[in-house]
Amino acid sequence: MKDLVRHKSLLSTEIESSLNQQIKKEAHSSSLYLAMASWCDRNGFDCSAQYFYDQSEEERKHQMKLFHYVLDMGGTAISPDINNIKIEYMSFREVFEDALEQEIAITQSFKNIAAKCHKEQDFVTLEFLNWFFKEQREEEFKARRALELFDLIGEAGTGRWEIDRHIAKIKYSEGEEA
Amino acid sequence: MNQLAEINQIEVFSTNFGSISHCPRTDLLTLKFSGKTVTYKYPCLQRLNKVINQVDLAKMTDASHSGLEIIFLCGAEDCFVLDIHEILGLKDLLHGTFTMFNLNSTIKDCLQRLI
Repeated sequence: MKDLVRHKSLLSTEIESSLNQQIKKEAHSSSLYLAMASWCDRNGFDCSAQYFYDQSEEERKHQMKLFHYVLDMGGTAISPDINNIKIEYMSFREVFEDALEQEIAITQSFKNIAAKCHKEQDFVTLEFLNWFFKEQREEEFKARRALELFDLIGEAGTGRWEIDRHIAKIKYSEGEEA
Repeated sequence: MNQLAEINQIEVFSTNFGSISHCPRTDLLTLKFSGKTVTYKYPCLQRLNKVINQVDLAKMTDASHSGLEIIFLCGAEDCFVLDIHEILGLKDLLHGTFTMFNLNSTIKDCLQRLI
């Protein structure tokens, strides 16, 4: 008999399901960042709003990269439904705390998929995931650096205005000298 | 014509409830179950497996439940109206079929691809 399983898809059912869950998480991240951008915009933090608009776009691109991979490998990519997005924050700092938490959750999730790929010897997907691990290095650095600014500059007086201006300048240089 | 197609079918798995066979020429899978014969493509059979596994069997035993489930696949022409015994039977049949598919894939790997 023909090997229908392998002929139809490179992905196992479990890896396909994990990738679809990741698609949903990326879409959730994108929506979350958009809500953060909205909060910052409404509260006068223009640079932070732009930072989160860009982050939202970035997450959407990650979602689509995963989406196309699942389809290209013969799987079924599922368009996720996203709801329960937090839209109000208690403080400017809380927005960035949530952003870091979100990035950590995404990194952990990718690590779980990579562990499953190792177990199944799906080295093709593992190689594909490497790009995302590199991205997560940058994403976590940026989120951590943003929170660091709150401690370095302080929120008193014009502190929050100053922090907002510095958010726009956060760059990750992968250990290269500036 | 139908007889010829029937001859070319390879039985993948069968139980007392029914059978699933594969046509090597068209790659279509024929499910014979509950007095019906339905032809599916492989991804469609995967969807059927998913739908069957999602049926809440405990709920079906409730007094308020009709005891019947309508199994309908989007894009497929046929639907099944099954009681709990038939659901279990179909679940068994599909589980066995996908185990055979995976076993076949592993055997192909060992005998043809990894030598």
